[in-house]
Amino acid sequence: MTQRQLLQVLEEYLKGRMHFVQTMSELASRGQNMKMLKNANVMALLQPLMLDVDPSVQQIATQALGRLVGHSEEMAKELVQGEVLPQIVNSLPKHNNYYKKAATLVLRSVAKHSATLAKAVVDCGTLDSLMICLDEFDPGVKESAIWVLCHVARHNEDLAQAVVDAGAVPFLVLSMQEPEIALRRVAVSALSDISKHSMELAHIVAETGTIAILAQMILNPDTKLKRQVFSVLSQIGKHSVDLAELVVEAEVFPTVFICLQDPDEVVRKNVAILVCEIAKHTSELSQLIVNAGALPALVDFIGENEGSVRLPAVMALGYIAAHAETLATAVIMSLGIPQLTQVLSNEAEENYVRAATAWSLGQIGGHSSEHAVAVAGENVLPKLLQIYTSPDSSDDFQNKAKNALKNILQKCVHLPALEPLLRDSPQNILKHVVIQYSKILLSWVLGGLAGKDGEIQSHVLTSRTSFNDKCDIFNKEVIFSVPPSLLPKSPMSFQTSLRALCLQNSLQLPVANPQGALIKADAQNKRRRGEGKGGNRGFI
Amino acid sequence: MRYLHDAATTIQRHWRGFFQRKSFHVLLRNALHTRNMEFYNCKAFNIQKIWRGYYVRKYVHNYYARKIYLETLMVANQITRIQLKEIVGSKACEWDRRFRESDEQRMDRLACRTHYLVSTRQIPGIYNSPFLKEPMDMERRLIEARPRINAERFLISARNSTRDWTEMSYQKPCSIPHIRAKKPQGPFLEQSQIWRHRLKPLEPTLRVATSFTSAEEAALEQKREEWRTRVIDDAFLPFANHRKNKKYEPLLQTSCAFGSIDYGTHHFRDTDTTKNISKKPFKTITRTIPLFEKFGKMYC
Repeated sequence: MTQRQLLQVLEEYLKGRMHFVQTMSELASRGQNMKMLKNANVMALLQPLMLDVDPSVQQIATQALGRLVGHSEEMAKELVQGEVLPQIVNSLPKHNNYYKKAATLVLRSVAKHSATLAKAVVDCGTLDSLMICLDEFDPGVKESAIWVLCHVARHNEDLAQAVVDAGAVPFLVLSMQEPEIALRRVAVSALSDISKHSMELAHIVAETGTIAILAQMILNPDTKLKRQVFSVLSQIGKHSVDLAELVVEAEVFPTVFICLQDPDEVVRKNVAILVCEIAKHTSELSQLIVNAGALPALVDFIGENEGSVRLPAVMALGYIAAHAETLATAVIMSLGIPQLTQVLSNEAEENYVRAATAWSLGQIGGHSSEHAVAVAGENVLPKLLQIYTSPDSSDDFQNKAKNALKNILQKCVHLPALEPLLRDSPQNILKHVVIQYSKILLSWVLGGLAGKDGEIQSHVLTSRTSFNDKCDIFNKEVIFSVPPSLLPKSPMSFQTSLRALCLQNSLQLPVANPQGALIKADAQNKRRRGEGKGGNRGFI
Repeated sequence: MRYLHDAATTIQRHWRGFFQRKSFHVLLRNALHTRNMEFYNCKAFNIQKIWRGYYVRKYVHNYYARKIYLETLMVANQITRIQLKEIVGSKACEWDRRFRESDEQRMDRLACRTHYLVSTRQIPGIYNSPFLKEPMDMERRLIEARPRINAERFLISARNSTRDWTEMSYQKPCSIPHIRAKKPQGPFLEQSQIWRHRLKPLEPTLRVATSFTSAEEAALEQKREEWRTRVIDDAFLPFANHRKNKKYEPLLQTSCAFGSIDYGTHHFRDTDTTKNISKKPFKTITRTIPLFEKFGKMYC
């Protein structure tokens, strides 16, 4: 064979290999071919081609492998077991940009499936090679390298710590300021994945002056960048009070509310999550947010959106109201309650949103009687009761509804609100209702409002008769709370009917020390009225 | 005996009185002290009570401050609402505009791909129904659609792509195969090569790239350099031949009363045109040989 024939044969072989890897690369980019390729055992054929002599064959083979592995986890495991990764990682710094991009594609595809695979990638010493890649000028190489870091750091805290220990954070901060939009997006999403795991990591990310840069990127027109920016800010702010204060000091707050009405849904949700995470920590932070004008923005947001997008906004309102009584009043005055009740009644699919609404309403109403009245005014209490008693609400939902009811009821002294609850409530709720009634009764009896007594009497009667034996304890409480005091203006019918009730329920009347009680009543009355009155001191 | 008892009792009586009268002062002083303390304590309680009430009402639970705060908060909320509406309104215009633009581009691209649906004089197309008064908007797009070249499309998509960079690396622009069954005769160059040549960016020659005033600029630069490095401004003339180092006297032909003339420095041509054959001045006809600049850059 002459030289030329030999060269010809070699060229044909090279062409054959190129054709093979190029077709594999194209086929692997579509998901439906995966099974076919797996059955044909293409991986085993491609692996030796990655170490081929010709650089273009090498590069396209790596690219094809990267795409294959990206689609299925088993192939990734096979690749790791084949111990090809260390070779790729070692040759990463030596070759040209195209090879770097292809190799980082492989690493990324392996690392994205699970934490163990990501750990295997890190163990091969990837992070050092990636740092070298990050030093390059070509933005495409940088982007792929950062993408690998992103996928590695996503899974758990140790991996994120390993990424940070390799010194990635300063590079990421620098890449965030580059002009290429794709590079910025990936850098910000890498920071978000690092900072979401723990407080120390978030601290490391925040202390390099990142927050100021991120704050400037808020009004950037690119949607995906905005998504990532808000996600980073919320991950940083959620861990501790100091970090949240850092975020607030970067003066994000009034500008952030503009993005609550962004056309993209994910951006809106991320903004709401940010507000929620910051409002969670202390009452000063909630106050700051409210002063910046959060309440109208949140209330409008709840009104305009649907489904799980409004969950963080609802929770934000709940947290704000939970911290301080003034803030709860502010929430009420910003017309938050009609919106929340609307969510409670209209939200069809997502039950956890309704659960969060119930919780928020409980927080708002639990501060004082005015708050409870404001909450009860929108017919909220029967709805909560219905949720609590209906069998098809989940446990969590029922719990939240019950706690909310309890919170509100303990402060509510508004009669029309309590009325509908007397009918069908279960025992533990009824207890609270009846206690509230007793408080009302007490104030009325002492104030001597005769006319209303008849109504109370009938209501109390109906509630008593529905629960005969089990309510003994509750009845006693009520009776004790109605003191043996002066009833000059109350009709005798009231007293007689109550006496009849007690006899009917065969209660032991507290007749232990009638004289003492009378004297006590006397003294009480004297102190209150400042005069002694004769006449019939009714002792019930 | 009784006398002794009485005497003893008297003595004891006197002694007890005397003794107690001594400690009476102390008792009296203590009682006075406690009475005083009680009085002062009562007054102190009063002051503390008033102070605590005032302090709590003013600083801890200031009702009026809270009221004012809530009212101002409501006003601030209204203002925030209005401001947000304004800003979002302006942004909404921009978002709207971007949507519409992308929509327009999509429709234009569709028209490009389906240009064969344009209506002709014989056959009205599907967008040009006879029942409508005028043809639909798509018809206008179809008429205005112009064919796009493959390689241009590739380059445009490369510029605007947000795809993975690895997909960009070794892809050839996809070429549509010829409709003719026979291959055209002749040794033609490869399509990709031709397009690469045609679409190559400009590489200007050295002649074009140098500015017109490069010589002057270089001279100026040199002058500045010299002026910068020069330490002493006066020219240093050696003492020995100071009589010989006289100032340069320029030629008579090249100098006149007001300094030197152009002849000999700027040009050597005769400025007197009366003796010329034709009235017009001389001008350059030949230019430099550009052949060597084309070497390796043209494929012919």
